[in-house]
Order: sequence, then C-alpha cells, then structure tokens
Amino acid sequence: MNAPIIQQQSVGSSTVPSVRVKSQYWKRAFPYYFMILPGLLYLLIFRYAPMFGLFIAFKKYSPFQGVWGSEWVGFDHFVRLFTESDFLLLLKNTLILNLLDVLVAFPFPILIAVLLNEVGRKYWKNSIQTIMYAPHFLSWVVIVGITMLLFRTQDGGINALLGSLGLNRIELMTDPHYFRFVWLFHNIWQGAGWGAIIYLASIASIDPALYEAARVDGASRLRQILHITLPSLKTIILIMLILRLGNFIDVGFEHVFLLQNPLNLEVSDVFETYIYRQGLVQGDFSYVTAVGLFKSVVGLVMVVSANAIAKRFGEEGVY
Amino acid sequence: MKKSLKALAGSFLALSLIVGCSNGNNGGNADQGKAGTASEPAKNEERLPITIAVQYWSGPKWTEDHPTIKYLEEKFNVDITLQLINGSEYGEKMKVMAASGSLPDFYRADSPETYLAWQSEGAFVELSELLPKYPNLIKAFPLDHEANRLLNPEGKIYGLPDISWTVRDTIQIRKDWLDNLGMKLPSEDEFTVDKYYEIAKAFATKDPDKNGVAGDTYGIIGLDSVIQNAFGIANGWFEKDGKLLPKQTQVEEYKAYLSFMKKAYDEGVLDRDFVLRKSSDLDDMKRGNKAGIYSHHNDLTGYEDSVKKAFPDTKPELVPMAPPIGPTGIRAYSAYLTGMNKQVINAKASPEKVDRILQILDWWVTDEGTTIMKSGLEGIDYTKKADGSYEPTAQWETNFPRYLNSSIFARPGVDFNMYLWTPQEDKDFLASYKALAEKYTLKDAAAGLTFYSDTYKNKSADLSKNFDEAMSKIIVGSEPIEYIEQASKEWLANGGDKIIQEINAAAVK
Repeated sequence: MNAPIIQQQSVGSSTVPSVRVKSQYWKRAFPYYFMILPGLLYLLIFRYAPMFGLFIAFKKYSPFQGVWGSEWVGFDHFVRLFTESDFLLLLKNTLILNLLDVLVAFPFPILIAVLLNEVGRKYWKNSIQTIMYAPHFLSWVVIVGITMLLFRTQDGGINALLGSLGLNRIELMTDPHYFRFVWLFHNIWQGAGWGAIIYLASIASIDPALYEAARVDGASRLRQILHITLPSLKTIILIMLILRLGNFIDVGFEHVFLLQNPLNLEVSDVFETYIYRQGLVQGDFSYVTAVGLFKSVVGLVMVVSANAIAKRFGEEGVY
Repeated sequence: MKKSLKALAGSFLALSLIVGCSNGNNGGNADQGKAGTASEPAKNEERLPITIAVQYWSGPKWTEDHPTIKYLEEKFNVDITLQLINGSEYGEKMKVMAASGSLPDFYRADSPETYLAWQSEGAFVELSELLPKYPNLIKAFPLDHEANRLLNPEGKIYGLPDISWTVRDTIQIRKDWLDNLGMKLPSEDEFTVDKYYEIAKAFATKDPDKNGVAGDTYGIIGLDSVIQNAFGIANGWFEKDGKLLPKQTQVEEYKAYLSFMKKAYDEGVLDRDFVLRKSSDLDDMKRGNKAGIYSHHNDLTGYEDSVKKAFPDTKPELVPMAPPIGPTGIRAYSAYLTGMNKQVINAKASPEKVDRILQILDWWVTDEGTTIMKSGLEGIDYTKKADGSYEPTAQWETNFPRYLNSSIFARPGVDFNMYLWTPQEDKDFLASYKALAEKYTLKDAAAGLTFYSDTYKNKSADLSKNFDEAMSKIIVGSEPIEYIEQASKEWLANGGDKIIQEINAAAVK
C-alpha cells in the first residue's frame, strides 16, 4: 500500500505554500497522479460519459431516429413504471433479497476474518484462506450449473440418489420456497472468502501492542476479539456497509436470471430481469433506461442517508 | 490509513452509483434506397464491403476464407464479412447492434415485432420499385405474393420473406423403442392423446432403450403446442361470433389440457424438470437416446445418425406422426404464417451496395445459384462421377456450405436440404413428410394483426410470462386447476382486454 506516502505529502504541501516547495511537491507527486490516470480515465469514459445518454429516459428513443431525433415524452416512462402491475412485486423481491443479503451474507466475511486471525499456524491460515476465496473466481453460470446437476428434480445427482432410496426428492430449483435460500447460500459461498480479504488487511494493521497489553492483563481470546479486533474494524465495517447499501436495489442480473424459471418467478423476478425482458427482449430502451435511472436514484438516496446516519453516530462515513 | 480508505471507498462509491446506457448514433436514412439503380448487372467495377449477420445454430463456424464465400466475393466483386450470432442470442444482439448503430448491411429481422417497429422508423430499404429490376428475384417473390403483403404497408415491401414450411415440426416416435417394449405403432386414426400418453408413460417408466435400467428415459419432454391444439386451444387467436379472441380466454380448454399435463407430471410421464430445460437440453435428450416421443423438424435421419453414433448397438428409427386426436376429436399442428421472417437490407447501405446485394440474391434464387449455395462447389465440396451422379467430398462435411443457404437466405421452398446427390427416396420422403405435416393444420385467426396493437407490443411478453407461470404452477400442483380462471382474468385485466380491442379494430381495417 502506498497510501501513507500520499498522506505525508499532502500534509507537507498544505503547510508550506511557497512556489519552490510547490514545484518540488509536484515533482515528487507526479508519478502518483500519473498512476491514478488510467483509473480516472476509465471512470470518465465508461462511467461518466454514458450518463449523458440518460436523457433518453425522457424520450421515446428509436435507434434509427437517433438520440437527438427521438420524440420527448417527459415522465411517461416513470409513470408507466410506477403504475405497472408488477412494480410492487419487483420492489418487494428486490428489497427482500437485499435485506437477506445484508443481514446474513454481509457479516460472514467479518466472521471469517476474525476467526482466521485466531488461527495460529500461518500455513493453516493461508491454506484456509485460499480455499475460501477460490469460489470467487467461478462464474455464476458454473455455480448455478453445478447446483442444477446436483439438484434437478428428475435427474440431478442428489435427487436421483434420494429417489432411488425411496426418499422424497428436494425440488430445490423449482420450489419457490427454496429460491431465496439457494440465492443467499450461493452468495455466501462465492463471496464470503473474498470479502474477508479487506477485513484481514485491516486486522493486520492493528497495533500488536494492544494485544500484548491485553494478554498481560489476562484477557481471554474472546475478550481480545470483542474489545480490540472488532472495535478496530468498526470504521471499515461501516464503510463497507454504506457502500453495500448503495446497491440496495441491485440484485445482480446474471445470478438471479440463471436461477429463474416459471415456477419461482413470484420470488425471483427483480428489476434486473424485468429490464432484461423489456429492454433486450422487447427492445424498449427508453423505458428500461428510466427503470435504471430510478434504481440509481434509490441507490444514491440510500448511500447519502446511510452516510448521514453514520456521521451522526460520530463515525467518519465515506465522504 | 483512514484517509486512504476514504479515497478507496470514494472511488468504489462512484463506481457503484452509475448506470450505463449506450448512445445510439444519428442516422438511418430511409430514402437512400430509392436512388438504387440496377445498371447492367455484369459491371461491378468497385469492390464493395458487405456485412451480413447470420443467426448461427450449429455446425462449424465459417471462416472468411470459406470457398463458397470466396466464390461469391469473386463473382460479384465484394468483400463479405459474416457476423455469426449465436442462435438464441440473435434477438438481443440485433437490438444492441441497433442501439449502437452498427447493424449489418443484410440481415434477418429477429422478429415480426422488430420488423414492424424498425420498418416504421426507416431502418430498411424499400424494395417494391427495386425488385422488378431483378428478373429472377421478382419471379421468386412476386410483389402481390401473400407473404410479401404480410407485415408490409400497402404497396411497399421492406424485406424479402422466408417462404418455406407451413408446418415443419411433427410428433415423432422412436419405433425401435416401441418394438423393444412390444408395443405397436399406432395408425393415424388410432393416435389419440391417450395413446400418446400411453406411449410416453411406457417410455418414462419402462426400459425402451434396453440398457437394463427402467425409468432412466423420458416420456413427455416440454409443453407441446400440438397437445394444446388437440384440446382445442387456439394457435394464438380464434374467431367467435365474428370477433377475434386470444387463446388465453379459452379457460375450459385449458382446464382439460392442464388436467392432462398435471396427471402426466404426477405419474412421472412429463419430465419433472420441464421448466428448467433449455432447447439445447431437449436436443441432447433426443440425440442422447434419452427421449423417444417428441416434436421435431424434418431432419429425422440426422437425429437417427446421432443416436446411432453414440450408441452403436441401437437401431434408431424415427417415425413422424399426424397430430394426436383430442378428446373432442380435434387434431392439428399449428401453422406458421408464411412471411413472418424477413430478410432486410439496411437503409444505410449505399445504392451501389443495395444493387450488389440484390444482384447476389437474384443469382441465388436461380437453379445454378441455389445449387452452389446448397451443395457447394464442384471439385471442392463434391465431385461429378463418370456416370453423371454426384458425390460429396470429405470437405463438404467440414465446409458446411449447406447452412449458408438457409441461414443467410434461401429461395422459396422446403427443399433446402436436398442436394445434388440426395437419393430419390429421400426426396420422396420429404414430399410425404410435408403432406403429413400439412394435413391437419390450425391457422392463427389474427394472423399478422397482433403487431398492430401497441398494447400487444408493450405488454405481451410480460402478460404471457404470467400466464405461463400459472400453467407451470398448475401442472406441478402448487395451484389447483381452477387457478387458470384467475390467470385468464388477470391476463385480460392487465392489458389483454385492450389488446383484444385493438386487434379487432385492426381486423376491421
């Protein structure tokens, strides 16, 4: 991490305003700014520039009349979205999935990081960590495919076995009651190990003297976790939580789409799959841009309010 | 540390907030095609690049140096770029290409809805004045042909229709499986839905493939429209008392059909994972000797060969059947509407390019052109033997010239897999197959009209999704049969009533 160096420099430059020092500062800082450049360009080109296209949410966009030639329709698309018969269902499904994710999946990486920190042998710690974050590199197609192979009702491996033993088959893929569980389980299995990395890094930066002092005072391991590790992680946990809340209305298209089938639609239909149907299947670009814009606005509101709440409780927040 | 985290977090934040959408470019000039002049077709002095989108289903991917493509390039002095698009993704890809302004010069509109929508926005070259200049083309696609009138405004033609099967898929049964189980192949008059059920049940529960394991084969795979037809469910729309009504209003018919399918599900006759199967999964079952009664197209021998290759001990024999007879005596295959698929030329193409494309097509519909596009080139894909008969070379298999024909363009007819060396018996089989498939057909009473309803365009995908959801739920038993009444009511309430109104209004016109 090169972050501490930047910090020192910014402190230095703010105290001495003379021109010579300033130019010296630029000379030293230039490489770092230069290193930021690709990321900055990426943001500008792929994240900011497309935002200008957002105004087609207020037009009846036709690819052949072009962005400028299409007719203005005002808030028609938003009115349509809010009066859509499925709107409440989409909102409900999206929020329930996210709530489950924040309540159940979000703490997992923290738990893993804290527990890994207690593993004494480095060899063990590293191998466990590697095994746990490996699923991160599997795509949803593979993960859902494996689940299908194991749990298809008729010929899935586990169900075929259950069937041949005369037991009831588990309709994991088609029974809507299982959908949220499967989705959540996948999320944890795939993401928890990877998510733990940032917490492990924070734990590594905790001053060992704190632990030594605690041990001298006779604090048990649990006490050390409760009073040293977790409090030190508080800021990073909050930041991660605020960022997570910004995605509170995002579910991620691919995963849900792959798990979706006509039998679990009532719990699996979310904004992303709706956008897919309306936008790519029906080609209604303006309308789905409006849906996307609505989602972004909700995300922004979530982040701003979460940040405000964090600040009220004396934390730093993300900005 | 904290500050750096803040910076890090800030950039994450920026990343996570933004929604992307792509800028379409301006353009799409509808009138350009008018200027197209068919000067003497022989002189093609300038070499023109032509891009063609191909919906790609199977076979090896054609490369730029494909002999047939090279032949076309030399003959017409063009540079052809083929954009191969995976079959199932074609519709999405086309819309993305449209949004980014990168549609190819010549392509098939992915759906009638798209064709109509884009037509009104001036995306295609209008052909009614150009076609007469190409003698073979105008003979193959006369301006007043039914297929040319469908989906086009009066007197205009925005695309060349695909004129082939009225009914292509039939129910096919593995006769060798029946033999293995000591069952008899039903005659046309004996083939009722109950017989269909009996056969499917035997296939699902016994051991038709003789591998020693009973029940590892499938009965009914997927929900088949022909079974719905047997129970009186319409092919889209039907006429009642002078009014057009959609099949979603046929509650009683659906109840009968759903009871039948529910029983099939409960007794293990219907594949219990039918909602999870994609078309490629079904294909694997057919080729993998796992299913023995299903709807399928006319390439029976291809599937027999696949099974034979994977299981050399089997003697697969597929028999096409007439549609099964329903409880009230109805039997029918749903008929396609000829002219629903259109090949279009991009309005952005220059007049010279339009002319060049039409020249190629004009040649393509001749006997010479079609033969080359189907059978390939003499000396490369096939050889002529001393006795005047033809023989395909080994390269013919790997070059796949034949798929270029039906994938890019084809002249009217169903003979696109009849080659120079195809034996007479296969040609006879095709004729008899066509007769069988088209013997009992059911037309859509609102043929082509649905696309004039705006509500249909906006809502149909969502509405039919909900209706299908209800059907699946009833079949697996999570809702009672009567639930279809509610689904039908919801379908009507959420936009269906309006669709009926709009379509009946369009029918009057």
